[in-house]
Amino acid sequence: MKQRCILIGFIVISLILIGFLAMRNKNIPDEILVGIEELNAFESKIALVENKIIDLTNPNDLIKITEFNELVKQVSFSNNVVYSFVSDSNKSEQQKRIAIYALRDLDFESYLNFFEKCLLLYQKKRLTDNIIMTVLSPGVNWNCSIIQNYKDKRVTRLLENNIEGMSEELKEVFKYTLSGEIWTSIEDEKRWSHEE
Amino acid sequence: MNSMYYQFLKDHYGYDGNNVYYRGQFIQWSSEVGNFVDPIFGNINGLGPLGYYDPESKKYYPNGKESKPSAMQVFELAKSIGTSLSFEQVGYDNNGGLAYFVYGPSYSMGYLAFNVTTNPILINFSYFIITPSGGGDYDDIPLNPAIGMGERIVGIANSYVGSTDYNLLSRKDDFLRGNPKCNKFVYDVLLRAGASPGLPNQPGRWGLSGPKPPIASQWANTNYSIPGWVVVNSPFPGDVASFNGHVGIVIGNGLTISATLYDGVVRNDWGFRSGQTPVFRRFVGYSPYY
Repeated sequence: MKQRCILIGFIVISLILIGFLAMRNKNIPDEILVGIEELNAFESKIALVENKIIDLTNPNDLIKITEFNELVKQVSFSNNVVYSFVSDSNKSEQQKRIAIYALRDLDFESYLNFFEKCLLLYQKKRLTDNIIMTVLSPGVNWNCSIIQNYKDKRVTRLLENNIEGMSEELKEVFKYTLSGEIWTSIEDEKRWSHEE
Repeated sequence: MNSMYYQFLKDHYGYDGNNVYYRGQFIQWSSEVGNFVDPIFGNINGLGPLGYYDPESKKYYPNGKESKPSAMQVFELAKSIGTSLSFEQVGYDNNGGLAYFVYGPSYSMGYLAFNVTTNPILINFSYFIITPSGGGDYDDIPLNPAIGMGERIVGIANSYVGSTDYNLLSRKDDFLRGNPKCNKFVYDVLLRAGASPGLPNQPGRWGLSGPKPPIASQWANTNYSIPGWVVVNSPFPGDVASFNGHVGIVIGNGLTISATLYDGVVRNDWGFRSGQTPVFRRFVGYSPYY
């Protein structure tokens, strides 16, 4: 009898524990789970950066923050931890945007993969227009690899395949991306910046 | 001499890249005079339209008296004194204050200033110099830079706070969705205030409809010339602050108003935060010599 009680108790505790863990990760798709320690370290650093930047009146100010540049190095080879982070509905828009800006040194292939996964989340209404915009066109000092490679067939296909599910605003931005206009504007800005 | 520098007619003069405004009025080009003409004061572009100077009584009449010599004549009088010094006394204002002609490196860059204490008068574009003396009761020329154009710019900028018109995903005139618009916000405010910096940037394919306002990095580049605007060291309300690819308007008390990418037009301490070293520019009136 005593052994049976212990067994039942063990089963109940196990179920509670499993339920707790399931609740904790309910906002993160299974396929992109990253190590908890890695995610926690990332979250802590985002909090530090957010505390220093105050707000994103000018995202370029991030580059002057040491912890942010550490984040950039941390995620320069893989987008998984950033994806886990932006997938979490408990994170604020500002925190998600800081995480995305941290991908400034990520290579084109990985960044395109990240964008594709974000589009899937957007279609499930789990990301906002602003977050998609931050990924696609973060600004002249950031990772512009998608808009720069607007002629790349993978970019073309991805944008064309997803354009119907986008908001009217994003549809327009997708069109400007496909036509190369956004990239031209970035080149203009770079040119004007160097003219005296 | 303890000189103080103030700005020229910041409350009255504006230029939007095409038209000249003075006292809020559009200034017509006069082929007869060969210059822009203020409907009240006359010639404006080259030598200045303000008031009249009476060499006999050595008094200056800022509101104009038809029987008195014009500012042009005062200028000619000043010119006859000499052109090599940085400034010369040329007479007195009607309260006994000294009047100076201030020379630039060439004839056409001379400035005429009257050094009354409370209401200095300038006859030309750019700075004037004032020394403590006399008094004054000229009613429509601002002395304190805190009033006039600076206040006007701040007032207009404040009216935009909360607006999402300049967000990255918004369309604003010929700035399309996806195009950052902090510089467009600053330009629109300054245009409404009559302190337009002009439209120096010719577009690429993006935004085909016309030239574009200065971008943030141009405002921040001290070697880049923006008509009507000079770089200053100490910020003042109505100045433009630019740093690290962003541009906004100084409103005083360590605050600015600027257009963010996603959070609308905001009023906060950006530009004055730790580690930020923005370039400040101030409107001094348009001149072909800037």
